Amino acid sequence: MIPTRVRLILVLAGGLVLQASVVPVFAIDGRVVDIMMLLAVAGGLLGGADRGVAIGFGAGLGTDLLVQTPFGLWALVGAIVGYSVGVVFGGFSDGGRLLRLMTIGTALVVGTATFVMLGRLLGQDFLADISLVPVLLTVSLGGMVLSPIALRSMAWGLGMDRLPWEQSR
Amino acid sequence: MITALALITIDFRGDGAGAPRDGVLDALGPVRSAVDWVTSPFGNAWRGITDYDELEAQNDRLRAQLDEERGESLEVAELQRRLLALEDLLDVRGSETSARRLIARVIDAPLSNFERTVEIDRGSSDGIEVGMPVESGSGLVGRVVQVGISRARVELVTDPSFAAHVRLVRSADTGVVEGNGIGRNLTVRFVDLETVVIPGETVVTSGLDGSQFPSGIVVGTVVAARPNPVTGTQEVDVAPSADLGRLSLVQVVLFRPTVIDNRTPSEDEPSEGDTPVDPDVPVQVPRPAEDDGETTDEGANASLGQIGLPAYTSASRSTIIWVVADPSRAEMH
Repeated sequence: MIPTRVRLILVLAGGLVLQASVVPVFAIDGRVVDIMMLLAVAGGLLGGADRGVAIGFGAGLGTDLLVQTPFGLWALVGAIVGYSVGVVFGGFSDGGRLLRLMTIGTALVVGTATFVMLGRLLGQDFLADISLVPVLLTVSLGGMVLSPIALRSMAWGLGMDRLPWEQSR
Repeated sequence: MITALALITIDFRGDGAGAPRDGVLDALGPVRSAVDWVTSPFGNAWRGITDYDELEAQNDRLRAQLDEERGESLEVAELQRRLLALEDLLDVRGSETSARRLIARVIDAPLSNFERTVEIDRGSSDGIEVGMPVESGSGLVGRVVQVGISRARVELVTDPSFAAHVRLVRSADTGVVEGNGIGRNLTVRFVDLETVVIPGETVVTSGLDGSQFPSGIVVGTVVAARPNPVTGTQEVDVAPSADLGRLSLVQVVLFRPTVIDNRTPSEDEPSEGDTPVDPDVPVQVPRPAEDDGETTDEGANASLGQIGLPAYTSASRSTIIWVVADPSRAEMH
């Protein structure tokens, strides 16, 4: 039996490898899906606020290792996203697939926008030059498409046999 | 969240994340290369679908450009030959012409939506170091800011944190060029108010001692100039020469800057490990990287008499040569 902590590390490390290797191959006009943010959202959804903040922090820290923005900024955003999703939506077991997808899409949009806002506050002026709408569309739509895989991976990481909404059926 | 804020603070203090990031760049390098190899057919097909129109337009543009440049290359070769001959006559060596270049492929695969750098497929194993200039065929692209074993990251000239010392070719006045963000013109600051700046004038790196760039790399062309009443100087808008939106191949200039420290010995006496220098013995000035024996054909031996009276070199600071400044003999080439 693999301990939960090790499982979560494996899930996040796997996400990091995918983000750095496979995701860029399928960039659309230079925009890519944000696997690590998706894992932060999945962590909040499945693990609630407490686990969400830790998973979000870990996922963000992974992104911080890949990019040149201030180290810790993605970790902060990931923690905020994981915690917020956990507080607002965590632990819900019903509501239907559409609501879950909308939740994930909205969380990804808010998380990305939060990153841009905090980044600009920290003097990352280059963020002002990036067209945000296509980025938000790519991140949210791509995240919604990949969400079943992310949720199943995170459920395995958290040691769940099934997703909560499957158990309630 | 407190930990994240602490990390940000540490990063801003400059104690930062260079080593872990370099480690991840190195660790993921082989994985990414393997995935590139496996997925390249799918990736090419995907790009063919999503970027078809752009690729077709680019193809036409490149054909036209190739025709134009075939003629120009003959002219440039002749000018280059004459320049080298003149440099021989004057006994000067332009560091720009002598620094070795290394061709690198730009990896067109963004890791994130908020990349401020581009990645190239060369790293420390190829002799690349942080700070080295990167240029395309048409001009300065940026400088290396992170180096892994087989990959490196390049900060673009348009990045707001980019700055370099430059020279206006026609007037020979100098200034500092700074980036203003992606897709925006550069700004050259601190140009003398008296200097007549003409739109279309070429701007190149100055290569002044201590500059991170060798002289003569084309940065861009002047678009407009305006006085800055606060500083009493001019600010010049410059369009970058390199097409930063369509980088595929670039050249890394294997150049290490010379750092001249003109403190007198009394301010900082030689310590253990410092070697006295014989004034009559030429000293190897660490200029372009080729001086380390890679492809040296010109060397960079500088007689100390050309720059002042020697004091001593510091063995513990291999890139610094300390000299006693002698303004009456100082010349800047």
